[in-house]
Amino acid sequence: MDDTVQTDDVIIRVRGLVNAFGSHVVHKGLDLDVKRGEILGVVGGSGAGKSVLLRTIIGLNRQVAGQIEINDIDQNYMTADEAQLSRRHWGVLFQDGALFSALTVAQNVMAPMREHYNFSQNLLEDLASSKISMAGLPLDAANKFPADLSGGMRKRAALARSLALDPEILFLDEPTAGLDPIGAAAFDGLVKNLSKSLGLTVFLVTHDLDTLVRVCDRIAVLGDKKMLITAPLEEVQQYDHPWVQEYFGGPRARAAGIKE
Amino acid sequence: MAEAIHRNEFICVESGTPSSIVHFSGAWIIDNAAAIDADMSNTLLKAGDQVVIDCSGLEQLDTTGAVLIRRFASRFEDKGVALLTGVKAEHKHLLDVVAAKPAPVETEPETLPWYLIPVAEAGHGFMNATASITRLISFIGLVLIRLFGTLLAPGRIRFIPLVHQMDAVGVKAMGIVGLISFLIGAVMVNQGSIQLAKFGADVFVIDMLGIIHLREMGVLLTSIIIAGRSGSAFTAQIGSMKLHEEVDAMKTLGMNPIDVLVLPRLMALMITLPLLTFYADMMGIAGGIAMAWAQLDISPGNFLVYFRDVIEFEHFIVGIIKAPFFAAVISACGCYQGLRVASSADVLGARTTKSVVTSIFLVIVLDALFAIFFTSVGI
Repeated sequence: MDDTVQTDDVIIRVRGLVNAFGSHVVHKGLDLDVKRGEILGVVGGSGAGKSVLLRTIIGLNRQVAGQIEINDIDQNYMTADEAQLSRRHWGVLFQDGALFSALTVAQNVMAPMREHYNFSQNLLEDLASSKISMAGLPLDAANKFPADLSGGMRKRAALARSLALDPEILFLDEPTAGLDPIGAAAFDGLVKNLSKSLGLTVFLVTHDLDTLVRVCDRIAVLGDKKMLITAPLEEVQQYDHPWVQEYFGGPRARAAGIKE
Repeated sequence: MAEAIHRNEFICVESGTPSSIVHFSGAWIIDNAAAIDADMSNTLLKAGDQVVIDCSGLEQLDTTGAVLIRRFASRFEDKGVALLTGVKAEHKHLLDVVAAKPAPVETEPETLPWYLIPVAEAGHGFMNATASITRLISFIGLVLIRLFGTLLAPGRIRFIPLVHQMDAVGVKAMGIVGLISFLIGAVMVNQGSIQLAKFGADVFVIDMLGIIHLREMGVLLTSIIIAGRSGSAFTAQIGSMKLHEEVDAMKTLGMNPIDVLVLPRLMALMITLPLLTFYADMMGIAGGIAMAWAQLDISPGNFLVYFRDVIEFEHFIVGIIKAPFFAAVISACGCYQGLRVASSADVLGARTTKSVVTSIFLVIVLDALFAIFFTSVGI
C-alpha cells in the first residue's frame, strides 16, 4: 500500500506552461506530470521545444506563463535560499557534457560538492572516485582533462558530475546523441541501473528510439505546442496523431524492435 | 548490557567482548556527511580491534552515506576485523553499488616537486620560445606566399570580408583613436610649454609637438590601440572558430583558412592603419592647437603658419611609412595566435593575452629599429 503512494507521487508538475520567444510560441498550455522514481522520455520533432521545456523546468529559461512545481515547491515563488537548496536536489547532464575544461574529471565532480559542503579533501577524493566508477569510467580517467577524453567518456564524466550531490532527479538532454550504438546501449543500461539502484527520477529528452524502448517507463510526446500524450510505449503507439504514427511506425522504429 | 562509550546523532559505539558494536543511525545523507566524516577518527579510537557494524538503525541512506560506511568499514579492517550487519533490504543495493573500494587515484593533474618547477619552466619556456619563433616565421612565410599569390590573381581577393574588416578595424576605431590622439596632443602642449617656459622658449612647443607626434606618437599610439582592440578580436574570432572545428571544416571544404581568415584581416589592417595614423596625426595637432590657444594664446591661424614653416614633410612621411609594417605585425600575431588555439576556453584566453602582448612588444621593437634606420640615413 505504501508502495503505490510512492509510485504515484508526482515529483515534477507542470501546468499551463507557455513559452514564447518574441512572436514565436513554443509551448501553449503544456501540462506534464513526472512521477517519483520513473524514467520519463520526452520525444518530439526537431524544434518542437524539447530542450526549451527542459531548460524551463531547471530554471534556465523563464516561462511566459504557467506553473512548475518540483517537490511541491512552486519554482516561480521561491526565495533565493530555496532555489539554491532545490538546485542540490537535481542533477543535469547537458548535451555535450558542459564539463569545466580547466578542471580534471575528478575536480569537475568535486566542484559542486566543494560549493555546497565543507568536506575534507580525503573524503572529497573518495566520493569523487566512487561517482566516477559509478558512472562506469575507469579510475585512471580521474586526473585527465575533459579535452583528453572521447565523447562517450565525456558523457560519463558529466554523468558522474551530475550525480555528485546525490540528486533525486536527473535531467538528461540527449544523453546518447553522438555515441556509437554500443556506447549508447551501454549508457542506456547505466542510466537504467543507476536510476533503479539510487531511486532516481529521470527526465530524459531524446531522439533515440532504442533508448525509449529499453529505458523509459513512460513516454511523453511533444507536438502542436503541448504534450500530446504521456503514457507507456504501447499506449503511445496506439495514439492517433500523424507525427506519432510516423515516428513509431517508421523503419527506424521497426529496427528498434517496436512492433506494429 | 553493553555500555555506550561514544555516542552522537549518527554513531554509537558500545564496548563488548569479543567485539565492540558500532551502531549507525539517523540520516546518512550528503547533508550530514561532513559531520559524520569528522567523527570518524574519534570512533576509530573508541572502538576496539574487532568491530561489528550495525546498520539497522539507518533511516536514510544515499550514495554519499554508502561511501562513508565503506570508509568506516575499511578503516576498521585496517586495524582488525569488521563485520557489517543489519543492512536493510532497501539499502543493500546502494551499498553494493559503492561496495568496491576504488583504488587510490590521482585527482589533480600531475605536478613536479616545487624545487624542480623553476628549472622545468625555464626549460619549457626556452623550448617554447624557439619553437614559437620558428612557427611564427613559417606562418609569416605562408601568409606572404598567399598574399603575393593573391596579388598576382586579384580575383581571389575576398572583397566583402575585406570591406567588412576595414569597417570593423578602421572606421569603428576612429572614435577612440581620435579621442586619445587629441588628448595626448593637448597634454603634450600643456606639459611641454610649462617646461619650455623656464627657458622662455615656450613657442617651440609647436616644433616639439609636430616632430614627436608626426614621427612617433601618432603611429605608435594608433598601433597600440589597434593591437589591443583588433589584434585581440582577431585571436578571439579565429580561436573560437578553431574550437568549434570550423577551421577544420573550412579545410575539408577546400577553403584555405589563410585566404579566408587571415588575408582579409591582414589587408584590411594594412590599408586602414596608415589612414588611421593620418587621422591620429591630424587629431593630435588639433589637440595641440586647442591647448596652445587656451594656454599660450597662440591663435590657430598663427599656430598653423608657424607649424608650416618649421615642420618638414619628412617627419610626416617617417611616421606614416611605419604604419603598414606595424599593421602586418599586429594582424599576423593576432591571426597566428588565433589559429594556434586548441582544446579549451582557457587556451583561448591565454592566446588572446599573448597576441596583444607580443604584438605591442614587436611594434615597439620595430619602431626602435626604424628610429635607428632613419637616424643613420639622416632623415
